[in-house]
Amino acid sequence: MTAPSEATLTLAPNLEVPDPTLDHAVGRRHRSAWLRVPVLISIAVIVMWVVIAITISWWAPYDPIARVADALEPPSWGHWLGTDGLGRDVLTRTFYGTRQSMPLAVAVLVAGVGLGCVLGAIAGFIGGWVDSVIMRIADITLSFPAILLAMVVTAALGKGLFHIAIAMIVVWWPIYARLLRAQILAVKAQEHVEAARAAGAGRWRVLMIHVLPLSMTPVLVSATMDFGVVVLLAAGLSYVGLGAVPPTPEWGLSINEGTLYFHQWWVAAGPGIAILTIVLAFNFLGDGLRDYLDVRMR
Amino acid sequence: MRRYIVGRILLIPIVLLGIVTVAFIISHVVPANPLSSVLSQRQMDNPEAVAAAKAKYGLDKSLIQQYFIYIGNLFRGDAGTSFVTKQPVADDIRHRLPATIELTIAAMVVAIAGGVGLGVLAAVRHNKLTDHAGRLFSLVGSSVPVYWSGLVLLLIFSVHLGWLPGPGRLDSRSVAPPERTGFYTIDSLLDGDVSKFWEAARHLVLPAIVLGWGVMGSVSRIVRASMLDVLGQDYVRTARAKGARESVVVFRHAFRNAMIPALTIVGFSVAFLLTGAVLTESIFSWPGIGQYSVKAAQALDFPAIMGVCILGGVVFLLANFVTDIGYALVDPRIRLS
Amino acid sequence: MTRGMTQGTGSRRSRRRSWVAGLMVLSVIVAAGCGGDDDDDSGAGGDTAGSAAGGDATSGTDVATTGTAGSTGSTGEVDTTPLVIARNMDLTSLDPHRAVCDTCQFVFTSLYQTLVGLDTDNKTLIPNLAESWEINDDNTVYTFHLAPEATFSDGSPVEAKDVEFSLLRLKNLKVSLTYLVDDIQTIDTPDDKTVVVTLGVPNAEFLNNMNAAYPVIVNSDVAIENGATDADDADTTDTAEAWFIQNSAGSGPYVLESFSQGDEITMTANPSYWRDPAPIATVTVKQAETAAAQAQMLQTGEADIAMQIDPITAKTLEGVDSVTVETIPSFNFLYIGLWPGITSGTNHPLDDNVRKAIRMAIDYQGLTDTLLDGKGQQQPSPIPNGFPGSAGLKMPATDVEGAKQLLEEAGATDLTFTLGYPTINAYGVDYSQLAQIIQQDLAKIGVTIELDPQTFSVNVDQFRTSQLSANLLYWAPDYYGSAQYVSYFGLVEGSRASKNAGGGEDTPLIDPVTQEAYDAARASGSAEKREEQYGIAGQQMLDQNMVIPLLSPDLVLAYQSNIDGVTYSACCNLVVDQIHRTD
Repeated sequence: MTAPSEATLTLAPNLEVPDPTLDHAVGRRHRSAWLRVPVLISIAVIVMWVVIAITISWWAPYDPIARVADALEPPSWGHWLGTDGLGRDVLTRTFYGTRQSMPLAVAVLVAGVGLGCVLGAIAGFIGGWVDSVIMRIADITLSFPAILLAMVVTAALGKGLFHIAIAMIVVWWPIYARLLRAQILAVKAQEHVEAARAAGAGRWRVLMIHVLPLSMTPVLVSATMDFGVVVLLAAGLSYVGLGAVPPTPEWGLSINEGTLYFHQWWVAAGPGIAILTIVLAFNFLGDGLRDYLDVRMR
Repeated sequence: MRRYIVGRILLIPIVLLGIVTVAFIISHVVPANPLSSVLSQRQMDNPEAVAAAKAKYGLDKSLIQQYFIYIGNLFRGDAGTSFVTKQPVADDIRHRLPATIELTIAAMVVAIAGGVGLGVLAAVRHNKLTDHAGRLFSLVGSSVPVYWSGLVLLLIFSVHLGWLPGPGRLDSRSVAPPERTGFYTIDSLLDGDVSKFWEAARHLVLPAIVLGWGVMGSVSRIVRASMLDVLGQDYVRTARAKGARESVVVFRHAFRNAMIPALTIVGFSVAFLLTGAVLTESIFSWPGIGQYSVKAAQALDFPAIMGVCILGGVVFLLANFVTDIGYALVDPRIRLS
Repeated sequence: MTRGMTQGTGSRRSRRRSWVAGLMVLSVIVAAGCGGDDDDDSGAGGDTAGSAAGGDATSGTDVATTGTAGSTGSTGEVDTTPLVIARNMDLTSLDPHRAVCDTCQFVFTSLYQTLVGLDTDNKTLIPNLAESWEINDDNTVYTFHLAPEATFSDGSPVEAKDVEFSLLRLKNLKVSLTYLVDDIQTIDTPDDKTVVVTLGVPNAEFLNNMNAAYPVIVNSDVAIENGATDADDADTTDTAEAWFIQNSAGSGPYVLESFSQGDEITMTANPSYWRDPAPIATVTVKQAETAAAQAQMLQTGEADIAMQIDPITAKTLEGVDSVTVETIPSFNFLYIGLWPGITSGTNHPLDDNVRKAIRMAIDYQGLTDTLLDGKGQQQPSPIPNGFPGSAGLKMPATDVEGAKQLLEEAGATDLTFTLGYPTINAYGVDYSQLAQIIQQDLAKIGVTIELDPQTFSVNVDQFRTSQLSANLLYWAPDYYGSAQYVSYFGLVEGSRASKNAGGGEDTPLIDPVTQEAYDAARASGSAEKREEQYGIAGQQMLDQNMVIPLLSPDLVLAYQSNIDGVTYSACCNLVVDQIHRTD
């Protein structure tokens, strides 16, 4: 039986812990689950946004920072999503926004997940007081109201996406540390791992070859789905004034402007829909990944 | 088992102390002057005024001294006095907590009803249209920024349709019921005022929907995942093989077991909402902890910041602890270090 | 999680588990909510309205019923439907001698009263608690005669000792706007209704100072009972603030009913008011953060008055019959500060030619058009339009080419500087938007601006400690008069501008012309002479280009159409007891 409690005891909204020790046969309905339509659409959407992020400066219709038309013009043929409060093209700014939010989310997740996994693996595998210390530090970090922690960290370090990223990494790693640790604890107790140890395999070898591969599933699934959460959290921080610095076309900043010009719905629509599609895409991708790994596990 | 519980209990104050220390360090490291919320712009130029204010709030002592004074006061139940509200932080929190809890409970009702319903539906109709539509709906909730969806819902339901009231816990001309628990719904019932109960309940609807919809995504996802797990189990196939009706299989056998991890997520969403519903609270003028903590952070109101951090820590640790114990109780094979 | 099920004990075990789990969650919620005890943290023996905890409730129902149960007062009927004012409340304290904020201005003048009032033309001083006064020839001795019938809300008469107490307390608490009373040398009280104030330096505007919303007169007996003091060490010995937050002890048309911070404040009619009672018996100010939310509340009828709607949001209320929207010029302005003495954050000191170039490059009309849909005024100097000294001042013309030339002459064609600003919305203008437009305007002359958004408290602090070479802020009048502007924005002794211009507290930059004009204006009893001298000071500030007003937003008065009497007051924002319903 696994010990999923530690793993599920986090703030991560995307938590799940499939039991890798289940030994029943797979139902027919699961077989090609991961190749379903939503997953394909998700991958397409994500690829599209990545391509936009990389290539936008070659084909952007307007300058994202300069004033190009009258302010607050509704959508028209010249400006598909109209103009914002300072006369800038909303569509262009939305596309440029990918260069802010996406690298930020990737950086936060890679660093946060990476750091969390390293610490979690150490905690889970070595156990004892090392485990206790690491987990207590994780507890302390997790107990802070996330937005408060992010606010204070950015107030101390200064503005800009870089510092936001640091604040969010600090908030994120404990989640993954606990997740991985719980998985490792569960897997450690399995028969084939015990068999390997009994057969004399070194600890390192056992960790890398037997334990880790089986433990990474929930981490990968959670990480893909946390992508959207990171983007939203950055937007929320911009709302309270601690995110990117104007006139950066960051989605959070743009949505704040949209709230200012509430009745000119197009200002918020651009970044809002962008965030929505990316979050949805990553979530469906994560679910699909889960189904896929599920198939493999079983 | 008992040793485990005792061990966990002993750890709580240590973790709390850690939280307080880290909060203290962080909030004092910030490079700005907390006196700006105490003194007016012009007075900040007056060195006498500044010195007087510093002395009054104990800011003229060294950091270490301030730290120990604070810890000492904590033991006596005194969490300091807020620079902004000029009231004891403990009182501030106590007055705002019921509002946030009321909202959190209402939001969780929405999140659970929606999340469980959609999750079960999605699992049962795995990979069919209902699955995708259900997931889409709950995910939209967690991807739309709250301060925007809140305004939109207000515009539609309050201004144009007039079905629901606007921001605030009660109608703008109403007086609050006599304070017993701080929950307007309960207090009005205790006061025998049924119409006020409904008024408070109506005011809860929109913010609860906005918040709950956001959490619905996590709940439905985990319900779906664990239902899928459970539905593939041996005993479920056995039940089916024995000829049980599908609904019986789903609800009697699968559902209950699948709910356990979901309930854990619920526990943690509660902890998260209690401290994190900042933006919703500000859109709906809901005087809760979220607003308090943001204003504290913006004004560098140290005592209030630390008070909120301690609150967050306590809530989180409690939820953590209770759930851990619960799992240890129900499954004797769990070994936790 | 699920393996255990295969042991075959199936449903019974699962039932127990979900039970346990449910209980766990419930206990978490209950434990977290364990703050519901109602300890009564009442202030010290308060008398008047509300002695219970500052939540929202108990005092609310108790006195509200008496307040609204048709208390008819002495003349005519009293409107008992509460008046709701929607506002983003910046009220943190109800101690009138400590708090400084825009909301304070109308709340304090409803609960308390000043010696001197302001007529509806926003210029003329009229009697209030003082029914008459005499000023000596060199404007150093002011003798006030208190209205004989003036009483506090507990029935006791307003006496000279209360005036002495209040003014000294304001001065010695050192928190609020002490500049209003700093000139006071001595206060004498020859009899109960006469107060003689002697100033250490001539100040012809002292009467105007007394009209500001902060030197209000409190009931000294009650205040002292609850820990207040006017002694020299009041800043460390006064303990009355907590009491003031839940009680009022004034002579104004209203008394404090309840105050819930960040949520709402309720005032009810003062039963012992010594003048005609206010038409509306209960006034509630409710928190509403954004202009959009306030506009929504007006539309649904939940608010009677919305105080902070900007002109662009006001357009959405056009055509709504139940709401009246009026846009009038205001005395508030937003400015950009350029400080030659501060060198951090810029690659070239902001000297005279550079500042002039910046002044010439900004498109002021464009600012107003974009941010406020044209509903704003241009203001040449830090003295608001219509205030003494503003009459002859001319707005410099926008001249982009000339600006570029000046920059070249100054050798600053690659100028890059950091502009610090608070992430707030002031008087309908979002600072982030404002900063970005300035950035765009200056880009046209080749100047690069790095934006530095900061939370309000951080920004104000950096501004005052001379760390920002360029900043954006705002100013609202404390009373009708120009001394407040010259003493803060002019290059005179003790001004913030002189310190920032010079680079620090100890190295102020003083302009003798402004100093001379300022001193002459303060010493002169003749309004024309003061006008002339302030005009000189104003022209100096205009030419120096250190405090450049960017725009003066018009004020939008938005209220239910069945309400009358909503006006803008230069000292007090809103005069609450003039408001009445017409149906």
